[in-house]
Amino acid sequence: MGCFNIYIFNRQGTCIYYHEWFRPKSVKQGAGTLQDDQKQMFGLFWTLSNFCATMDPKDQDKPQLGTPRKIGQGCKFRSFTTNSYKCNFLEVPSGIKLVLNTHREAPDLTDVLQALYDDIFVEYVVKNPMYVPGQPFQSEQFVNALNAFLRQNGLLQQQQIMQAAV
Amino acid sequence: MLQNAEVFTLTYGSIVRQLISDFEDIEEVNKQLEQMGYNMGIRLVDEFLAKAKITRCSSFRDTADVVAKQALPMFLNVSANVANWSPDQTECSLVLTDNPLADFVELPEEYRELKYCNVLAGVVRGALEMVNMEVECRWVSDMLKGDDCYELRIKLKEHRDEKFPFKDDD
Repeated sequence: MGCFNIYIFNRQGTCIYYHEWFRPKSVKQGAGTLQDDQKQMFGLFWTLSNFCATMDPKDQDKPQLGTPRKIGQGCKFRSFTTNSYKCNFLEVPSGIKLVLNTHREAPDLTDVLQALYDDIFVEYVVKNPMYVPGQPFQSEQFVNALNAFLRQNGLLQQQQIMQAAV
Repeated sequence: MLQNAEVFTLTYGSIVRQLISDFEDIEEVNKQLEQMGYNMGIRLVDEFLAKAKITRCSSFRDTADVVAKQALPMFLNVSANVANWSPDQTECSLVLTDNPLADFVELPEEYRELKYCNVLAGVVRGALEMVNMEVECRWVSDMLKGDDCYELRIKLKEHRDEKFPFKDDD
């Protein structure tokens, strides 16, 4: 139960932050290396965003499948659920994408992701003078704030908090 | 609030002063100010998107409105008007009637070529580049040089599509 892992990508596809709390099946059995895993995750969301934009039943002038998206349209894809996990997604107009994998029963986490971006990413990463946009970053303040925030939202279970503190 | 604004104005003034004495060539100083603004803009855009909670910025026209009516008041506490749209909607002007960066400034004769507020041009360019709009910004009117307002001309060069960054055959 709880959160499994989080990825933060920038527009160029670089994974600028990755953290896992609970991943019993190791990456080697999945994509092979962590880098491949991140690339595949990015590609997955790219395709799903395009797909959702094309399939939107309420949109008057939706694009054809295959046409490239303009950044300003906003992202219509929010989450998908499988047998074992739920994957939540948020893309902001500046190209930053947040991906949070949680347990199946999680409610709609769009607001949580938006608050994560507003209060934690912008506060501790963007405003950090050591942050170079486009490069992976390490920031203890960010990690602490992230864990505290997720715990507050009930997404981090007790044994995961122990693991996170390690 | 007033004290904060003054510190900001005076800090900016001393940065410009220092740049002039470091570089001595006014054109080079203009370029440096623009570059500083660009570096600020690429970071500022995330903060702006977080505070203003904008999730869509579909056309250049909307974007210019948002910059003038939301971004500038949020960061500089001044509001601007958007005017002088070109017929094909790719160029417009942001008109400011007062500019806190240049509050106590008088431009002497030998610095006629100095674009004192060039950092703003860089900020707009950097911020819009992060939302995939490549623009060119230049000052056409400057109150420090005797005009009656500050006018920043923004020209849209390209509104880029999202491009998949990895090669397809990987």
